[in-house]
Amino acid sequence: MKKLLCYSYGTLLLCSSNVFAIDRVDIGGFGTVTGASTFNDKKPFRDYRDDDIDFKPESLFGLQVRADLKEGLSATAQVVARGFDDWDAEFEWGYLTYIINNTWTVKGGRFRTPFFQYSDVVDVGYAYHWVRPPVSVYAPLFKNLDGLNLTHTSDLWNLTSTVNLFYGKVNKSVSIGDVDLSHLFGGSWNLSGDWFSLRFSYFEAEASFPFAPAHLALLPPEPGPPGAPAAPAAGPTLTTEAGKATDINDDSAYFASVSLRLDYDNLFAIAEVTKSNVDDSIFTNPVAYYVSVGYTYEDITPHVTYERFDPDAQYNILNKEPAGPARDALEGVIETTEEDFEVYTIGVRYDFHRSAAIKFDYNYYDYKVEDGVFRVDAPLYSISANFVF
Amino acid sequence: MRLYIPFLQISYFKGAMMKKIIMAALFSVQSVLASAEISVIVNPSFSDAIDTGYVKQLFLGKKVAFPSGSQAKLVTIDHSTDVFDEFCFKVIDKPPRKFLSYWSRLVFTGKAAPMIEAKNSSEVKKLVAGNANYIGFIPSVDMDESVKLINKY
Repeated sequence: MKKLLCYSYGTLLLCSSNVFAIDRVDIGGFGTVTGASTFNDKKPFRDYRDDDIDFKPESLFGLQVRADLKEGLSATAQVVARGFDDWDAEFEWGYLTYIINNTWTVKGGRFRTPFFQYSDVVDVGYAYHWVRPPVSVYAPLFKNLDGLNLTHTSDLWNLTSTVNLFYGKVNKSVSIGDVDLSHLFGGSWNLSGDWFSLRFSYFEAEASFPFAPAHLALLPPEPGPPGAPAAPAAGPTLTTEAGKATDINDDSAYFASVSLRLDYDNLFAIAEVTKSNVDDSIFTNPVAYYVSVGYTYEDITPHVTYERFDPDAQYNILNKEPAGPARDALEGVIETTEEDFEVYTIGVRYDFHRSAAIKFDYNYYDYKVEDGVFRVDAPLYSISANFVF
Repeated sequence: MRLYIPFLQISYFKGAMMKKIIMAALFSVQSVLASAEISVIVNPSFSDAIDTGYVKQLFLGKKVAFPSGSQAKLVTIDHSTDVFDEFCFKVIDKPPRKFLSYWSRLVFTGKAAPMIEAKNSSEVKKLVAGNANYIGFIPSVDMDESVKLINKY
């Protein structure tokens, strides 16, 4: 990071004023330019289309400002501009950190939801070897959490043990509705030695989020004002009971994972297993896992990865809906949630500069059940350049 | 014993003298090829007890404060220097690029404060000498009394 030493910038009001007692201000940033294409008409996953190489969906630039206010207190803010948001710079994180002593640290504000191993570093491409972390696990649904984090570090049998506890909420508006995780509570435990790092995490919350537009259209309409009839629905709708059994509205949810990383000489391997679960809903409670192995030879790091996304389509909900057009429509929607797939990846990262890297990944998406529309077996070619300063 | 080092003509010397000359020759070659010894330094007023393991943990972001509880502020030398590479291999035991990639993760996820960057040894010494909780590293040859030594690597 570039440094701004307060004592050498005497004219800066903030730094020279005793009222604010700022020790130093650091500004740093990171950026990723990613382009991907399937090079044919097939659509493998998410937005990648035919012959064009699309650079917008995954490119981003981030800026981080950190003010060191004395005695263990610091304030950090991060602004990120993303290609798919038309480069609208958004204040993503802002939090205060207080180092109580060499065992305890507390953080409060808005920061990345740390469900899984790479959750908090997904935007900093420079920090990992793939073009993108395994999509089966790292879907950008719950991005930032507002709340508190308590960290405890200690030495345990010659290893470093780090326990992180979180409490807060996630709230974000997306195109099809609001994503809400309230009373989010949980944490992670990381045990690391010289050549390995083991992590366990578990989080619980009350979840509300839209799962699929087709599903939303089936929900019974909201009751109208008292005395007036409810607004008419556009098509068949479910009974209230079935509606409740399908939608994700204040339902108990949990997110758990175990991950292991091994580093031996120039060889490394990472494996992670995750489980996401939402009770009483159409959510497929998927188990998602991956294994990645790589080797670093000077500045080149080739790697291979296998991922699996294993959802559980909730056909039992059909029992709650009497036979009819609504039930048929519901069955159709549940069928679309059968998104069982595997991804095979081979890629290489080249650190051509101390603060920058270029990567190339080849992925092959293999769906268990193809539907010819969204779920089509297809290759994806991606190239990415990352930098930090 | 004949040793073909042109300017020494060792074949004409015998016994203890020969051994001395050979050792001197070997050492002079070694010091050209050998890596610089690194000294980890702190402010002269520093009174905590930290060992090599603790220093490594600080520079890996696994510990953010000294045993006394005060926040440790890490000073590094410019990333493109040989001294930085030496430090990565000797103190951290990671290749420089892996260390930078690892550190960027800590900084951008808020787990550690960015390291303070100094251009050269004298700037490192100036920073460490002027601030109570700063810890940095320099080639041992640049060591002087303005800073306190923690360990040599």
